[in-house]
Amino acid sequence: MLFNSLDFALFLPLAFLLYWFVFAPMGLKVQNGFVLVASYIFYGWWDWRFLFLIALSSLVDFVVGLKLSRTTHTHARKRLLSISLITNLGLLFIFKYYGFFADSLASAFYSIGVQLSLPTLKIILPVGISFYTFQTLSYTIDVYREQLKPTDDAISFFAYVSFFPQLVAGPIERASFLLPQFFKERRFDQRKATEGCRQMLWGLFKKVVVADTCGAYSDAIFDRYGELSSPLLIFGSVMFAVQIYGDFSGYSDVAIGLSKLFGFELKDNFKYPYFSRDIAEFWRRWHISLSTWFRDYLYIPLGGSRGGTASSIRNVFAIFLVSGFWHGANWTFIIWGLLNALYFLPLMLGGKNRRFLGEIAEGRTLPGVAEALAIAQTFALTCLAWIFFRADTISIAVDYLQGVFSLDHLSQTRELLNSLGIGKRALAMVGLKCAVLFGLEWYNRASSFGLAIGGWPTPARWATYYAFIFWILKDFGNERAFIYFQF
Amino acid sequence: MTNFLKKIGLMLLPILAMASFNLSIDPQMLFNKKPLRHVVQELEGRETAECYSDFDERVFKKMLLQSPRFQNVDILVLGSSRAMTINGDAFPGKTVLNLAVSGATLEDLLALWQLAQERIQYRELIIGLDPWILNPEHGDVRWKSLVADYNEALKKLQSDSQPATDKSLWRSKIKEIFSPLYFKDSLMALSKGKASLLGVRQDGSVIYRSAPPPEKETGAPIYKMSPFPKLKKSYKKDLDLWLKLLSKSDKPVIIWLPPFRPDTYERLESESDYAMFREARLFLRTECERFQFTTLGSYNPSALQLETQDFRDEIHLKPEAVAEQMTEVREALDQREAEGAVSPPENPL
Repeated sequence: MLFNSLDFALFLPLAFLLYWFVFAPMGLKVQNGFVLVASYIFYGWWDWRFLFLIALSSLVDFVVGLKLSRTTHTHARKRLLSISLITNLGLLFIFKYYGFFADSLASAFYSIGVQLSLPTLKIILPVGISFYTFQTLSYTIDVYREQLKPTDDAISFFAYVSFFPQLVAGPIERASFLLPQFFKERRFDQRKATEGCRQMLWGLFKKVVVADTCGAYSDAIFDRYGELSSPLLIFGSVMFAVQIYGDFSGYSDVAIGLSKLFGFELKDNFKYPYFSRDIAEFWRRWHISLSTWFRDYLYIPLGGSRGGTASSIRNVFAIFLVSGFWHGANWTFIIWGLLNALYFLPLMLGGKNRRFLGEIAEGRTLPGVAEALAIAQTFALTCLAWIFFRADTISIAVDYLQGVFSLDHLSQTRELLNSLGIGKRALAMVGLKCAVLFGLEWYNRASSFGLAIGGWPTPARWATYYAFIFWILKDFGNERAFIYFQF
Repeated sequence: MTNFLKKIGLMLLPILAMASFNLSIDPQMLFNKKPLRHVVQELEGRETAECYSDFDERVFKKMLLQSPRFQNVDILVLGSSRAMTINGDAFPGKTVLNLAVSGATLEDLLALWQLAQERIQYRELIIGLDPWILNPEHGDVRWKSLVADYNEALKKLQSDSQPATDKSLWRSKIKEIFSPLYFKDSLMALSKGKASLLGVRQDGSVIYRSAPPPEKETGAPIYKMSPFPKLKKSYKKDLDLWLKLLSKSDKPVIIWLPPFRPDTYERLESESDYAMFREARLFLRTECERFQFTTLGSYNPSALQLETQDFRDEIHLKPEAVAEQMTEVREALDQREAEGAVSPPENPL
């Protein structure tokens, strides 16, 4: 089920009322049971057949967790952890990466003159598999490390793995943070619920109004990149940068807001990444739940930056390449990861990767010139990397990049823009949408989301709510899926 | 909690008010079919009726088919808005029923043909064939008003295409009701009062009452032709099955190719965005030849000696130019009647 769909518009009030009025008085276990059922309905709405995968992952990790608590034997514990890793990563491999490996292997053999025919699997990618796999793995690893006590409450554990607000596109919540919330009595908190609604509204605005508009333009430009001029190609990559941010962080905002409505807290997943002053800061602000997951479960176990320069470089490359590969089984994602590693390395080697830990332009309305230039530079670098992320193949990305630096078709830019269906009015509208998005985010950058306007006078607040609601309803045409569903 | 729910209720109140207003005015007659019935009733006793708003043409044509006046017609017309002005005046002494609908897709053509098969007797069929009927990205859901008839047509053709549902039509209708743009339409419909947008003749053809739409910016995408990534396989198959079935019937079929305005045609011919137009044209040409249909008109305006001033906009001929084009169609039909059957003229595609 999509957050930006009619189905969800019916599902949400029904689930909310049942949750608080029918099941909450029946006790925590029943309420958690309802969360589980609602989550499975939410996911099964897309394709019920893949529910068994979530159930299998949950079952394996639940049992492994219990068994880990009953043994202190190192070998047995390692074996149990391996069972969890093999099951979860195995499913991920089969459903997400098998085709890629089979194709890459076949073409590698073909290049040396050997025809290799590997069996192909014609299966669709289960929505959100990378998200819930990492979520459930965090539980087993933490239990294995004895950082978390395993639970014997199967319903709560299954509900934690499939918690519908963040099931298909995160934030990836650690068991240590989210699972204990299932064991505490939840009382309705009006302040939190109101804030949750506000955050959902903001998320839907980002997705429906901004991301989908920018997405239409970036799609049109990426589809015809070969015939377009440099300014249009630059415009296309900027549109994609805004689209992916609005889309993904919009989903996170809705997920976090929705959780608040049901009495849960989720961690922030984005902290205004496009205001970052360097790439290191960008990565502390973009998809935080994934970056910290890799940091805690991959980078630090590999030694982090504590070893020598060579091992630090290796670890940085490892984390960025894996991060790229996590997004999809395509070389383009790997190159995207590699590019980010290359951006990050000079900062790390120069000891400058933790220069910007505080708020941007703290105590000031506008950034200084140097800050503004740093922000623009970081944004330009990310836009460049997004070209690889968005392109279907590396050769398309390279051609696109060549087009960016080419003078071909420059004089036809205006006509080409028209031929894409982007007139003056459309340009003004997309400019306005981006200005509202980034303007409000800049204004509220000390808060956790852009529409944190709880302190505004009531008339201004309500006028803003209505403006956003009507804007969303106006643009609520196609139910375009969130990009990160495919990961 | 009560306080919170009250606030939410208060917040939703204007939205519900807007939706109720939209529903009550329903400028495009998404839910309220009464005005459509009224138009159909009016046509029982008058030559023309006026439409004061956009309306569901598919449902209107379906209603027309229920009229006893059309139990037996000489000429049935199918096609898009480019064929909507074909009327009985072009075929003196003959009864015409025009079932063309705006933006007709293959689904529309099949559904309306199926309805006509089911409900009326006709002697001759004119199909206005547009290249976009093979476009998988036509993005039109209006045909879903006739989803059951479309599914029925698929059965009749023994097509292996998946039957369709009208789920997306309902979704888009509900979304419209909650849309501020529809609210704007409702307000405009309310303020406009009795300004007719379109006249409808007894034979189902239309008379334009409003000025042509403003000219699009240079290079703007051509209606339904962009994006046009490929020819949809199932459309090709279904069209083939349909034409095959029509060719076996004893009712003469004329394929009419509505021309594009010269500048539009030039773009279709030369721009890479419209490569699929050329593919579609080739496919349609092959099909028409294969089944030996009389094919008249041409997408190319110069082949018909048409100039820019003959067009209402970039894809529509002016009604008088359409009438002129129908002379050839009439002659072909007359000839067929006189000879029983004629060999098709040289294919203009």
